[in-house]
Amino acid sequence: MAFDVSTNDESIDVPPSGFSAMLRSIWADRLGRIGLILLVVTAVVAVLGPFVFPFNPADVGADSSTILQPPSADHWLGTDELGRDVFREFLAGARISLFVGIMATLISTVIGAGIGIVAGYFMGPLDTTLMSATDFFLVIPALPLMIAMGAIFGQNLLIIILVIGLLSWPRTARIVRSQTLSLRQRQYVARAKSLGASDARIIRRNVAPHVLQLIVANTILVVAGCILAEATLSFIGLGDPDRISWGSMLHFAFVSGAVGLGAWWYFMPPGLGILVVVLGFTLVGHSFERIANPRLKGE
Amino acid sequence: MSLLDVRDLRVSYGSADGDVHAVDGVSLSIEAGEFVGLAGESGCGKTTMAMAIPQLLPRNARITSGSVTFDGVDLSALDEHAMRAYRWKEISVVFQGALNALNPVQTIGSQIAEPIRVHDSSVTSAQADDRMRELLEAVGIPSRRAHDFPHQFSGGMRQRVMIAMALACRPRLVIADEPITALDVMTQAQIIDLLQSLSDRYNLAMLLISHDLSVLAQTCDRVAVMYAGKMAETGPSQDVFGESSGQVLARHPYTQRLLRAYPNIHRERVFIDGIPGSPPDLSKPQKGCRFQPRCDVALTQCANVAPELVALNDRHFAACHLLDADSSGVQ
Amino acid sequence: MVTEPSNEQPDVRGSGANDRAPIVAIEDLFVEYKVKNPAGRGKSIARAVDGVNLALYPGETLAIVGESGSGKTSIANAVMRLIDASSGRIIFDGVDLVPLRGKELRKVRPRLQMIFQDPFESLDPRMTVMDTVVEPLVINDIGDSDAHRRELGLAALQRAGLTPADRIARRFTHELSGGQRQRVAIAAAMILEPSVVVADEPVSMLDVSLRAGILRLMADMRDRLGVAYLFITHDLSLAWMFADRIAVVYLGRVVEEGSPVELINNPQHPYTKALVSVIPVPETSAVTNRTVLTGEIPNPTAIPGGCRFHPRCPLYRERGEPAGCRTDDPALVQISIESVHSAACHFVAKVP
Repeated sequence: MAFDVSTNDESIDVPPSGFSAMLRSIWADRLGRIGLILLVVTAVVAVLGPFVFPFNPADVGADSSTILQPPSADHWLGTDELGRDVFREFLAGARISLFVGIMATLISTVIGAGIGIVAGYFMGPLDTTLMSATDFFLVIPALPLMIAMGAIFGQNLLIIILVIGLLSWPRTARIVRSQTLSLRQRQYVARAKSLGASDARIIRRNVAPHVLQLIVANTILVVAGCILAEATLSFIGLGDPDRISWGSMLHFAFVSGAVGLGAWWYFMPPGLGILVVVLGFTLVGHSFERIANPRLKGE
Repeated sequence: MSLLDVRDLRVSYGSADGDVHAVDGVSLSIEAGEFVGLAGESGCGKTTMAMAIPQLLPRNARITSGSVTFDGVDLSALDEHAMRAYRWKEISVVFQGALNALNPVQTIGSQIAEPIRVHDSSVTSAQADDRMRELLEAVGIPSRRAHDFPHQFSGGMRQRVMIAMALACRPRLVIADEPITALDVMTQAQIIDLLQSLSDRYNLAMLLISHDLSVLAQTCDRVAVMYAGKMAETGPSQDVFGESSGQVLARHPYTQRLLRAYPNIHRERVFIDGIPGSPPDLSKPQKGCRFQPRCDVALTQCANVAPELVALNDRHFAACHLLDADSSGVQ
Repeated sequence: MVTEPSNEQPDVRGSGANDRAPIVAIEDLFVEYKVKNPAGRGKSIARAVDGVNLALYPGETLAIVGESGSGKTSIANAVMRLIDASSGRIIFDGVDLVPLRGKELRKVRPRLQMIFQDPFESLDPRMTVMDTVVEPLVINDIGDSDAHRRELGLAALQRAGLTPADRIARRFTHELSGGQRQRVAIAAAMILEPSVVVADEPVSMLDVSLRAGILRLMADMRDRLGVAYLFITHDLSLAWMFADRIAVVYLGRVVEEGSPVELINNPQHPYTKALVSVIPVPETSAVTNRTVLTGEIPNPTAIPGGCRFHPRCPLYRERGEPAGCRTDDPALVQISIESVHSAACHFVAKVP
């Protein structure tokens, strides 16, 4: 039995709103700040890099003396098994990896948030049905399914985005639903109802704005997962063969024997790239989640 | 000598916007076995003042001056280790919001028995068990319910459990912070009756904190009314709540107006009065009487000079310039 | 301008009121819900409202007084259609609300508003005061333009005693004090000029010194707009002061109903008598014989048979535990000819 002293704190927790306030509060968190720096660097590299150092996949080496060369003044990160510049390839790969990760996340978030809000707000049979579906998607092993679907629908970027997006929403749906369930009990929702507001309006005005932060926090974490998923699919050879990503760089480094030959300049950059971007999103995501979800405070 | 003597106590909270002087020079004494009520609006400092007695203030609060003497010992000079000998055994607390303070996965019996053994290692578990059953019966819970869990109890019953816990080590003073606030009227009456009978039976001194002045009227021997960190008025209940030839005996305008803020079914059916405005911001320095901005009988000096407590008889005190010798008869 | 309640017996339904039609008539209302049994499986039925009949007349304040678990909040929520009635009728201005759904219900809503207990919970912390006050207008498509609605909003804030209105309007509701927030809630509820407002413990979360201000504002609105209040409270003395008529509820049923003065001075039901006896009053001279009931309101999943109050009833014990109290459920019967006063107890003298 401990003596606990309840402080008379009447201030209510209103998480910061607005993009700049959000960034400021992440910046104030040490780990969040590290994550933010990692992400900004990655974004600059992915967006501007290929303009400055364009990569041409057809720009293969003239002969065998140009392949798998270690870093030099001409090729800052050496060359790959076809004699192409790894640095330029790395920059191009960054763009595709981020693009796939973010697009898949958008799909996942729209589905997850939509299902979560609708299930949590309306409850009843609709909730039961939607949550059974969510649980189904939550428990099926995503990777084998992605492999199977990738194999069936072919290896192009759009399919990969769809496959990843359609398989990563259940967590979002669960989190958003539980938040919505507690929000719909709030007196201001009852008040809006008694004013004559329709369900659509209540969701739009009184529920969605309050789950938005949670959705954003969750989305940032989902991006990390989607980038990893893309890297995994590409690494095992199910990526889009026409688009180089970090995952497919690793794939080709592996199948070409570059890993066995100790050509570290080929497989280290994409590996580190994945590490940095996943770490960045995870740190920022967790930092923001702590801000957006007061229940996690102090953990 | 009083059992408890709080002298000129000042407590501040550190905050980003500067220090908040939650308790600013408050004195209060309690005799053994006396039932004292401490009233005031939220934020008046009543809980802070009470929690400073057993040194159970939040970490950002500190006692800046004053003394707390319990049975001749200056508690404010004790360190945390020495203070522990006083908590539970001499002074125990029934916390506000205690209804949710019970451990949900522990039986109420073991939650009551625990402090008994923690605070006195010579007690055997059988003795602690006997004592626990005795306490349960004393607060009106059949001792066969000792093996039940908190969720099996209603709010009123859980409050009884909290009171039993406070009594576990036979303290001489119990500080009860809003023990009846969340309860129904009938349950409130039950708990008040219980506190009174326990106070009589064990010669317990009780400091009952409540925002509800009307509850204190028929309960307490003596009441103290705080406003904005200061003692506004203190005296025996019949002096603060009583009337003599149609005149209320309460002398501080704040107390007088608070009394009119409650409906009184024994009187004419009139609309209750409020007190417009709100208490001052205690993070800013205060000049003059703190009630002056809301007071409708304020004098010119009220804005500049803080009133001292004036003795109306040997136990009844109020801090108001209207009671000063030179302004007598103004009212 | 605030008028004091008259100290004489208010003329509520006594003489002239009978020829008026009630604005809200609650007829045989039942609200039941399933609750999971705490131990083991299965569900049982809790009857939160167990056959309630009440009438609210235009411009009148009817207080529903009860402890927690009495069903008073369920009655309020059923009238507001925030929860569904299991059976019975809630006739508002001639229309039964119970079967209404969706659009039809939303059409009625503007004339039936609610003030909630907790001003920290009932206003969306992300909205400004102005947005909150004009929200009812926006939802119900009232007002010609945003500017017009703003004007109406400022006027409503002013009426609610929130001045300077234009400055307060720009603030967020979470920046206001409890009393100010409740004023905003009242301003918003009144902006549609409803004929009935359900006020669920509107002052119980506020400091004592602020209660009078809020209640005066409500009284002012009653006089100005002729709004009728269904005033839900646990505080019998507050109901006595504010209402024109009081219904005391116990375990889902009205056990006594009457004018405030009659109910307090001459309570007939043993439960009301006990409640009246424990009302705290701010004076020491009032010597009362307090009747403190033992135990608590039983669980609504297990309403005692016969008279639902008999297990706690002092009169039942005094009378030697007559069998009738255990077997027959007493009906609410009129017990006075001069005034409106009825009680549900086997031992009250019925008007022949």
